[in-house]
Amino acid sequence: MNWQIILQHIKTGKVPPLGIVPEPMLNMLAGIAGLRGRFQELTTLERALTTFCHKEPDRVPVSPILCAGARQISGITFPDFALDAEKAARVYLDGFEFVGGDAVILLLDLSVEAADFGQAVMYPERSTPHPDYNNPILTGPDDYARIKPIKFSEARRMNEFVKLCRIMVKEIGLRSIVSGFVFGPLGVLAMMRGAENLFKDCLLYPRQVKAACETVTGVLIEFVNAQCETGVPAIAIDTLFASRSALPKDVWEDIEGPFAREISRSIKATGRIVGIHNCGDAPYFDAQIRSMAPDLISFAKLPDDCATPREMKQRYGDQVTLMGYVPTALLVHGTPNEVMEEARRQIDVLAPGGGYILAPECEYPPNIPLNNAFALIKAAQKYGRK
Amino acid sequence: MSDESGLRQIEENVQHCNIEGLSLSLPKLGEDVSAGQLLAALNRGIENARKKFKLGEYAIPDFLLAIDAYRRGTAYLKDRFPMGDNASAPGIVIGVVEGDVHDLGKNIVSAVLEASGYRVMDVGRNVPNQSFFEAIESFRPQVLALSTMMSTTLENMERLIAQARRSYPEIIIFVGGAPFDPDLARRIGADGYAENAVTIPEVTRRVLKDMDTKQIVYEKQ
Repeated sequence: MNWQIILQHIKTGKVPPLGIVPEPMLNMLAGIAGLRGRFQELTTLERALTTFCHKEPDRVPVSPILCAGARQISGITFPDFALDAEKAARVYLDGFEFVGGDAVILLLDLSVEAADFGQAVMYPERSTPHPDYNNPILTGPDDYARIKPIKFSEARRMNEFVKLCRIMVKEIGLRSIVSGFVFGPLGVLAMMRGAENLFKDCLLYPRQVKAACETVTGVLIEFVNAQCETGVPAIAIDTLFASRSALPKDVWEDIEGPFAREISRSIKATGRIVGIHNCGDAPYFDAQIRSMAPDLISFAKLPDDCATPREMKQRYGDQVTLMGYVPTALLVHGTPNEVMEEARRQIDVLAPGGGYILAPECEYPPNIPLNNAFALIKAAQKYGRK
Repeated sequence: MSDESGLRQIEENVQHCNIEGLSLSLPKLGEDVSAGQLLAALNRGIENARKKFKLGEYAIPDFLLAIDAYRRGTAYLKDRFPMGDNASAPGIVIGVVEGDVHDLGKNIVSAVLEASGYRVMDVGRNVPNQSFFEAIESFRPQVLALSTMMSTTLENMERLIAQARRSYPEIIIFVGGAPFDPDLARRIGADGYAENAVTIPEVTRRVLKDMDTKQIVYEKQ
């Protein structure tokens, strides 16, 4: 173990990479924190450590996954949030200071990587950026061969995101866990081809799709390495297509699985926590665990092989930290009391034994009031205590 | 090849997403085969595929390919038997609301409704409110089906539904897409909601049956 690296991080106010600490040592530290948590309030870092080691902290950690939604506090437009790291950092910091949370998930939108591969992107004033699907780069299966590696130094949006990571690590310090983000290679290709066409191509032209995945993954690895260098202690990989709302399990494991593994390995090599975000229907937890060996899964729906949250906790609760899954629809239309009640139900089932973070099923809806983000924080404080 | 075995082959090619096989078998059909027989074979094929999708035997890509095969078949049908639309079938205007470009779910629903015998006018994605009203004026549908995958579009969607209610009080309004649950669908003013594209024919049938009473129908798989 490199104590110097750990001390250096703490001295400079950064969360150290937990992966470089030997597991017995982590467990011992988590055990001490868990014990202390029975009597005193833990720091965010202690709470996270305890949670990741599947021990019960003082209370359930919580993240409202407040991203573009915090623009309402800052008065910053969607395009500025997407394209200017300093403005995006202002939004995230305002969200953190105003609402709070134990983890800050940095996510601009899902077209960041595709934009740097040359995909035209639309930047609406009042909504999330998206590819211009009338002008896709990939118009047919032969076009996959046209995807070429890009120079990372010239990847404007990805570099802006790395800058955002750097600012946030410095500004948040030890107050919360800051997580980077990367869209998986199939997700990036879907932004350039359209999901419907990509799904069909995965069955009809798997060789061409895999070749493009390989090219894209090379760049994504540079992207996650650059994020790790900023000091973020965790990175989330979005593998939306590993779910029943996208590809069959065997097809996903064959096409994206190996590339997702490479990305995960690169992150883990630096000692960072690997999270998965998958807001698809019936996600394949088993296949994603086989492929990426993640520390955490942020999910929206129960995995394909579990009928109840209790079964999910029993089957996967000791393998990964579960993060979720207050429904978007409830955040949009529910009262804070209804949101807190739903959070309480989830805490009751998923929190015992540790390894659970209360969160929405996906990003906090960007255009709704923040009342229900506060409700999530309040629910963790009220119902999540030992 | 007998008419019967030719029609069976067409049904199976649609069900098994075999567009190439379908393209070969369609021209081999005997001259005695009627438009009704061919349409019935295509419908059986896509209905079988829908059932497999519903049971989890087919994933989305399989079903999308079956839809492509079905559409190839109906295009051939229209070429071989030029005829007017079935004006007596209930009409549906469907589209993704303004601000959203995710149309995968809408495309599946549109194809499933078409295969279930409805007249469908698909107005596309990122559709301005005014375009929905123009489509209603020209097509005179019984149902307006609105889709979105994002939460940022909900505010405008609610306005669109309220305006549609005022201008066309008889029209039935469906909503669908990731942000919805039955409660949100009800709150936003919709008459019907289906959690899954494969359940949409049942929901549509029930909603149209209850049209007089405007009973709200929400379907969970």
